[in-house]
Amino acid sequence: MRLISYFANPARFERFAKFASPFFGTGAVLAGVVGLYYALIVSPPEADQGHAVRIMYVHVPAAWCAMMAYSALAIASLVSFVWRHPLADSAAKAFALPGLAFTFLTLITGSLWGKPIWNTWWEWDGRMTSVLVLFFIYLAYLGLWSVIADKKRAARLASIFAMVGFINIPIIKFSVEWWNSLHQPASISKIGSPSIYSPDMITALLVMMLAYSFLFGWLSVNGIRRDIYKARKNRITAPAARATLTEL
Amino acid sequence: MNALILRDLKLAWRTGGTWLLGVIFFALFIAVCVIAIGAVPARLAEFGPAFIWLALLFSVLLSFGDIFSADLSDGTLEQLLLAGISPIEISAAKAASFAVLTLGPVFILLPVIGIMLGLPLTVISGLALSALFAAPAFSAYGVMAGALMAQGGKGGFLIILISAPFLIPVLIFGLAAVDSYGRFGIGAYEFRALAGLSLIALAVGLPAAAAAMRANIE
Repeated sequence: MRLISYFANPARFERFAKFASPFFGTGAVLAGVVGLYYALIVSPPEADQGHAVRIMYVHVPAAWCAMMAYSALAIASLVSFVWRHPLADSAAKAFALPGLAFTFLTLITGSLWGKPIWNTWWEWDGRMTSVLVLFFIYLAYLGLWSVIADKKRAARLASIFAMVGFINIPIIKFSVEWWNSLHQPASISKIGSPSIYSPDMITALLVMMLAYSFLFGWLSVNGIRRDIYKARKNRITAPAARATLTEL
Repeated sequence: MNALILRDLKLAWRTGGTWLLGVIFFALFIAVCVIAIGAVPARLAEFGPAFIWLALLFSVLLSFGDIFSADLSDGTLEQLLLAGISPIEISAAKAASFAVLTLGPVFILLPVIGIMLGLPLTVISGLALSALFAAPAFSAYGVMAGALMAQGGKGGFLIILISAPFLIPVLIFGLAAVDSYGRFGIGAYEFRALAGLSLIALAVGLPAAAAAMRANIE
């Protein structure tokens, strides 16, 4: 609560962003390099899947970030809806585009992984369908922002929609347990099982998750910043326009 | 609340039949689908239920935009809220009148279409029951989408995009329910899942519609 009102001040957020943006940025690059080194070179191939298991290191973190981004978006929407902080609107909006991109990556890498393992690019099972639904929810959320001209109203309506859309997240999470599907259970839960046996595999997966999360952090901090600058720019030009009108 | 529903019904009656466009679209959509697959009886028996469900889905999706737009643009909605009527009550009334005006005619036509497609009686009754179980979900998400996009504008496709993600599970379980109705009857778990989805829709959609209504008149 205290944290929310602390960062609600754009100037304070600005100071935070000055430190956070390079931190997330370099973190993403460093973790990405280390993670890819582990994922592609150090970690051993899996018993059944062979080298195809390496797609896991880009697929699982993308899926994780897609869901994290939506959860963050829903929380920011809740904050915006209840306390009406404009910064929460900027945050929700800034989470949406990276979230959409991560969801897209999840679908693409998933189907690239599916082809060699399941011999199909796509299967209409619970997990894949619900992630596809998440993709559409992101699109609809961004569509709401762009269609509604009045930005304050857009913020309000989009936040309502984002909160309703959150019901899809538990469906994605539990879809592999509710329906016996082609999709395997969460890779993290399989640590120690025969399929993820080597500590190098776990390291690769965790470092890649870190890299993706840093990337998401970098993208969203800079997205929020961009939004603040845009709002500031609009505020500066608005009175000037009125002044010229009265001069006429 | 009854007065609100009655008002909607009266208004619809006085338009001289535009409320029937949804059911006309329903019939037309099925006709187009049947023509597209070449009207082979074996294929009709296989795809008929799916066509009927799709027609139902699209006919409701396309009518969501009209739920609130007139009431918002002529100021009725603002007056109702100013009069102290709770927005939840308004959205519940809207959901009820939507169910009567848009889903009602479809239910009446559905058995006729089923017979025209040559579907067996169990499939037709399964279809009718699954549509009935899904009706609250259609109405609740429809009212939500209608309230979110009440300003209209360029939102023609967007209203479909914002409601379709929530109706996809309803479609999945609706068709699964038709399938298992023949074997397990009304006790099939798909019907319970549909009822659950409908209850979630009412619990989430109506408050969301109420909040969106408020946001639209701010």
